[in-house]
Amino acid sequence: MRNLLTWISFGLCSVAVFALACNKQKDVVTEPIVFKAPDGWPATVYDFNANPITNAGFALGKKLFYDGKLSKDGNFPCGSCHQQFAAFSNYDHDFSHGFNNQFTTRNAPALNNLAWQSAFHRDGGISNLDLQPLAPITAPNEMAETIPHVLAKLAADPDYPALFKAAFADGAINTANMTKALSQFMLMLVSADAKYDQVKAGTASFDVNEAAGYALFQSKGCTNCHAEPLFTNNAYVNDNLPVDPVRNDVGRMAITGDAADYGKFKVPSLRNVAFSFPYMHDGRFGSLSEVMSHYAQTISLNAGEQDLLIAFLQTLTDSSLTKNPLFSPDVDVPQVHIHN
Amino acid sequence: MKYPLLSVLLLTLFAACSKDNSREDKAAWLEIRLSPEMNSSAFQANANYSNIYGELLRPTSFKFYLGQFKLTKTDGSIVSLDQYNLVDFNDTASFRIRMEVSPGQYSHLQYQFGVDSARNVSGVQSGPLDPLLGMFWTWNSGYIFLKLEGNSTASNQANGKFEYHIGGFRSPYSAIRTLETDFAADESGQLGSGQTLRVNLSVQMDNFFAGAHPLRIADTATVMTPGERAAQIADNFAACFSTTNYQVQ
Ligand code: HEC
Ligand code: HEC
Repeated sequence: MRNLLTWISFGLCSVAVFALACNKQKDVVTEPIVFKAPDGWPATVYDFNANPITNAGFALGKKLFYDGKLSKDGNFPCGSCHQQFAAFSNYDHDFSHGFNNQFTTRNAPALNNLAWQSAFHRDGGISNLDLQPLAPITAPNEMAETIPHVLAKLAADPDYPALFKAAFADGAINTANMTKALSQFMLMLVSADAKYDQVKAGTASFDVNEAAGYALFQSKGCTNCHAEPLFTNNAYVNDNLPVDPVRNDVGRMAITGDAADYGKFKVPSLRNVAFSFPYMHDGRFGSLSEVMSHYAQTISLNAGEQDLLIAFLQTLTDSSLTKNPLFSPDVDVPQVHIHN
Repeated sequence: MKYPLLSVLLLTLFAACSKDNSREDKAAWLEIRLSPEMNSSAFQANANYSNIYGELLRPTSFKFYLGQFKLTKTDGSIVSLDQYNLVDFNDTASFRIRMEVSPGQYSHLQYQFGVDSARNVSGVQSGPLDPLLGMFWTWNSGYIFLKLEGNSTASNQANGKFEYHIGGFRSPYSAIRTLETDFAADESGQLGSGQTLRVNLSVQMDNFFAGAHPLRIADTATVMTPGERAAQIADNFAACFSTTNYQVQ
């Protein structure tokens, strides 16, 4: 058996070598899409071995992410609530629009650095990135579809069968491959090149306000929860936000059933926080100044300090994510062509 | 085809591999036969039953996961079958679960209601565990181990529905239950090659309502999340199982 595996890997290597050779001949520009964890960051959580990123998988994931076919009436692709220019949050929406004029029950968070997250949704109810798409696709107030129906639509589409074949060895249009492809796209949404990162790398420097804000961010204990470099410790915390009696969103407690988790929500990353307004799980604060006034109730923060903190938070904006053509629905992904 | 040689090579290797796996002369089988019953008759869709509280009910959907069959031989060795089966009363073929095992003298069978925690959290599974089968909570990752739905005049829900979606793998409210069958110490558990060890299991749904944790439809017409109630109903469901008999054929 071991022998066999060696032979198969040899076979696959040869295919890869031939593929590269092919590309050279045909002069196709090839940019392999590689996931790179920034130096000095904590270990990733996602199991890349079970779903290695490839150009074809990423391209399929990107097409799926922006395709209305995944929703019942065609109007609500993932990208409708997770917009690139807004760092994949829903720009200026406390709740997002879904199927049949309904709204989501929570504020759509910005998506980045998902490979470092072990649980998804603001209550951490989803335990694997691959499982995440199943929730919006089947939620009656979001995409309002069923998985079998989405798969049938993809199988009947002129393009998808070939894309699935290119992306996965078995070429099957099934739940696992669809969600793996979406994960490949989302995993690449790495945000590690904001001004903050450049300062850390020594290629840029904070102005005086930003520097003072950064010092406050650490001295006022923000980093206890919004820990660098991800700006979250992935914990669930009651951020002293009274539970809205009408919505009665009890947060983490809905998942664990533990009364101690009442009103606890996942500490969100603050990367690209300038775009993720309105803020908090229910979008109750429209601006960063409102968020700062909220914290000033429990942490001593005068008006000047609040402004400095905001100046620092602005340095977490990463245009390499929000403006990267690789993630734009309008730009094709470079393909590695394999001829046979 | 630009690389016929390579393809031929690979095909040959695969052929060699499948030969390797063939155990025609050494194969034996374990076959589980399930008989869901209530009020002493088969438990079927759209038939009428009553529970011990006199509540009338008419089930429309009844599905559950059973798997992780483990056979212990008299020499202490264990044959583990790492698989799951979705049993559905609208698909009676699912009442028969047939698995290849090695011949030997068996003393004990263990199996599991529900899906182990690793498979609840490690990405999208396929086959009987494919989330497209609807036995998965998408907003609170995890399998629905059992769905029992239907109508009852006792239900206080709109249109008289009752819905029990039972699952949960996190302590303290895990709904995973281990079930067992012992084989007599005589030759009856002796399984020769080519033979089938058939175990007939009865699933007495009366106990679903009348078990250690009484379930009155009038009080509880829906259970849709993991938690204490779901774990109690899992106890009741585990108590529905009993081994009618077993034989080697
Ligand atoms: C109708 C709007 C809407 C659509 C469509 C939508 N989402 Fe979301 N998304 C949300 C909201 C709202 C949340 C937060 C939900 C919560 O916390 O309960 C969210 C959360 C997420 C998260 C978790 C982020 C985190 O940090 O926990 C991911 C990942 C995600 N969505 C990916 C997707 C994918 C992939 C699709 C398409 C299959 C999709 N979304 C479609 C609104 C939407
Ligand atoms: C005890 C943990 C904790 C501390 C300390 C903390 N935060 Fe937060 N922060 C949270 C949680 C939890 C949320 C999300 C609450 C929710 O979703 O309702 C949050 C949300 C935010 C948001 C909104 C993000 C968004 O996209 O909605 C900002 C901005 C923010 N915090 C900044 C700060 C600053 C600045 C400090 C220091 C003054 C700070 N936080 C200290 C836990 C903390």
